[in-house]
Amino acid sequence: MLLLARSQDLTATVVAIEQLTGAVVAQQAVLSGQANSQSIATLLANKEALEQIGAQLERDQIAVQEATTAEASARAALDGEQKKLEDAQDALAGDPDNEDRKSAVDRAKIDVGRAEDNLQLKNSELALRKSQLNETQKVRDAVARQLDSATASASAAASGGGQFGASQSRDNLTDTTATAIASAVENIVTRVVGKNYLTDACIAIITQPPDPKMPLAERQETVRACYELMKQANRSEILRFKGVVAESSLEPEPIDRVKQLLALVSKLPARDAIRLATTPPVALSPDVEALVNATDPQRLRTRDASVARLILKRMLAVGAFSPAELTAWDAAMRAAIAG
Amino acid sequence: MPATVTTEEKLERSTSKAAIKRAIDLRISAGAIRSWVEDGGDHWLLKTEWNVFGSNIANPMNAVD
Repeated sequence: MLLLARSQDLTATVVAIEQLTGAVVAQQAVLSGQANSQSIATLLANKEALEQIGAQLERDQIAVQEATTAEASARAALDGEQKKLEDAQDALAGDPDNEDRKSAVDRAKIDVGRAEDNLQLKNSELALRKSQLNETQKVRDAVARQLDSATASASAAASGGGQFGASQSRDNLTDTTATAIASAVENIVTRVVGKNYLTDACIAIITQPPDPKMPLAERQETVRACYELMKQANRSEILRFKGVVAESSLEPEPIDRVKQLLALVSKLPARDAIRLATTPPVALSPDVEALVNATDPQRLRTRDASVARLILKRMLAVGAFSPAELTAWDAAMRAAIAG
Repeated sequence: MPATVTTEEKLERSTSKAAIKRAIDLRISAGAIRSWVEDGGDHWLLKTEWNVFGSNIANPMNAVD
């Protein structure tokens, strides 16, 4: 359990340091679902469009071929009509007054005119078909290029490609910030590496189910030893686990602390003993006030250090002070002794 | 003027004998003449006798130098 706790502490440390300094990891390959689906959608749409365009292109090519054939037929028809006109004109030249030949030439001219119009129409239709074919080819080429692009994108996604996530840059740190981060990291490492797990071990011993094979006295001695170790290791931890300690029928801490304070009272300088007995660092309960006034009705404590020390001991013994109040007493007396 | 003052403190009935003993010892260490416990019915009554300064000296330990 302790090894697990150490491991978790170190993990938390690494995470905390990485929050400050940036993670030392490979860049993450990122291909979002949206980008992926867009590539696939584009791919499918382009493919379908390309198929439709291909069919259109075939139709346009057929139309161009038909228009070309029609244009050639119209041109041949025009040539035929022009030949007929020439023949009619030759025949009329041999007999200029012949009305029938005049009429034949006139009809031949009309037919030539119709053939020319038809050829012009076929030429225009051919040009239109060629233009359509050209546009369709351009569209097909454009869609084909998009399809190639979409296919390339889809291939990159399938092969695990994509964009690499940009790592957070720490290059723009000021000197002050860099120093602060370095200090914070040092503090984290120092605290975690130097963390005392003795208290945790003691808590584990105290709270574990008693071994029925272990004699009660031996277990109590172990628990008591743990309690002493914890007391020296970390006073705040003792307060935190005070309930556990009390359940172990060990000596309650306040009495221990009061005994320590009684020892300090004897070391107080005369002036400070009088001062503290006259003006205690914490408020006294009415019962204690009554005891003090009843046992020192002449207020000798205000001028006699020996009486002041004894009064201080009585205050502490019956005061029922809270841990915080005992701490205040301790601080006041140690400060006085330190002078 | 009485030479001593006796204080009374209520202790919960569930207080163990060991805890009562430690409380008595603490008061003796603080200069009490004597300290003892009496049955108060639903609680224990911790009585302590203290000497009064400036009167007859009841306990040499509390003698004022």
